[in-house]
Amino acid sequence: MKKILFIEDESALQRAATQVLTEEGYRVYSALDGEAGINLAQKEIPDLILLDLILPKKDGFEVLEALKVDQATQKIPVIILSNLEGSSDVEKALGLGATTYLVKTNYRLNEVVEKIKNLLGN
Amino acid sequence: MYTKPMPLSLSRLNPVAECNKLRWGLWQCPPFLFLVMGLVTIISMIATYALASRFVQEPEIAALIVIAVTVLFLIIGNLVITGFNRVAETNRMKSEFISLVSHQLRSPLSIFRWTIDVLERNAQKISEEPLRSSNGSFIDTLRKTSDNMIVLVNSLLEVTRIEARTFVLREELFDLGKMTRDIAENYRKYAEASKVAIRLEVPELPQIKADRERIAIVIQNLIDNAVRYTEKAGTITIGLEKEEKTILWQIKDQGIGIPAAQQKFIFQKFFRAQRPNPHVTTQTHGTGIGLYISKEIIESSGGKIGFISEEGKGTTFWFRLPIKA
Repeated sequence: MKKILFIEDESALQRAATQVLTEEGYRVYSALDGEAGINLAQKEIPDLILLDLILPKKDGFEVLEALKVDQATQKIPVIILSNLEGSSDVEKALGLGATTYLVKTNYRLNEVVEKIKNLLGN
Repeated sequence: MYTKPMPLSLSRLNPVAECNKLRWGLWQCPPFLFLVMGLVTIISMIATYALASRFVQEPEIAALIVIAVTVLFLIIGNLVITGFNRVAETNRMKSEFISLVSHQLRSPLSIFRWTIDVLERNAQKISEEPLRSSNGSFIDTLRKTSDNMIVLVNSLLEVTRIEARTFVLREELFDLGKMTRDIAENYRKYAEASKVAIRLEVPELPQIKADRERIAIVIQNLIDNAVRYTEKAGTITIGLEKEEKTILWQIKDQGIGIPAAQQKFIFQKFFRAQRPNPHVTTQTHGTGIGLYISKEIIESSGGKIGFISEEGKGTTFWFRLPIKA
């Protein structure tokens, strides 16, 4: 079973995504802040990470940096799911090694699942 | 960037009307200041010519007049520049505010969208009992999120009303203590989730006459801030007391406090106090309008609002409202 880590401080979004991804056959891990996200990523080595940018403790950019310097986690694809849309945010995230950048409000949950399926190849 | 040219209207030929329309003080308003500068130039040229030809034997007098006029120009020029700077600054704050608000509105919209997606999926598999029972909590999420969004949009409208000066209070008699207890009760669960306890010290007090709904907004803002800026566990104490012909309402937190350098901006529109740790991004929580609105409400009700704060120790916000018979 493929593992997905969702780092997002909005628990309502966590719950919705967890239910749908679990139904789709993934094992979902949730972290509500950046620090917990990094720890969980290092412990579980998920197949994919969904990452919000505005997070307590450590923001998404810092999480991304930490993941990319750690050999154990640097190859995990990271999808940014944020409501920030400034071109500097997008460039910064992609520059730090994010795989794609999705603006949360523009994507339905089913579309996010499609993206994940494409990336994980099933 | 393409900017639409301003249509030429008659009011533009009348700088005083133009300044009134822009709601600017005359001495801060460039169209008016340019007119003044033009008049000063004409008058001073004529005066300099007249005086210089009279005092042709004493050129230093003419020189002095020229210097005096130059100083006057400098002062007016400075006023013009200050006026333009204000425009630029307001413009910058507005764009920042719009991007902040769009982001703030996007968060609840994402929640709506994703939650509805889940409910839709559940509806397709209506036979599975556990899914149906989880619907209740998803509907609960929708309700709470829409409530939050309504509060946000209402406070934006309130700012517009304050700025357009169409802010009208609807006064009625009510019990401030009871209102405080009710609001605090609503916040208790939210506060407990952040390990914050709320303590109330509310004695029997006379009723006050004020805009009930607006005062409730002030109390909500102050409790909300106290919870939000308490970083670890702590206790918030809300106390009410009668002082002569006023009621003093206070809320004391054990939060992170407001850095001294930021204290003077606290009631300014769009201002949000920064957290000591820049990584703890609270940038999207709070719009920076709660205290601005609160100050306007309390002051238009004939009261006063203020705070005492020490960084690292906590903040006490207070307001005082007159007891009107």
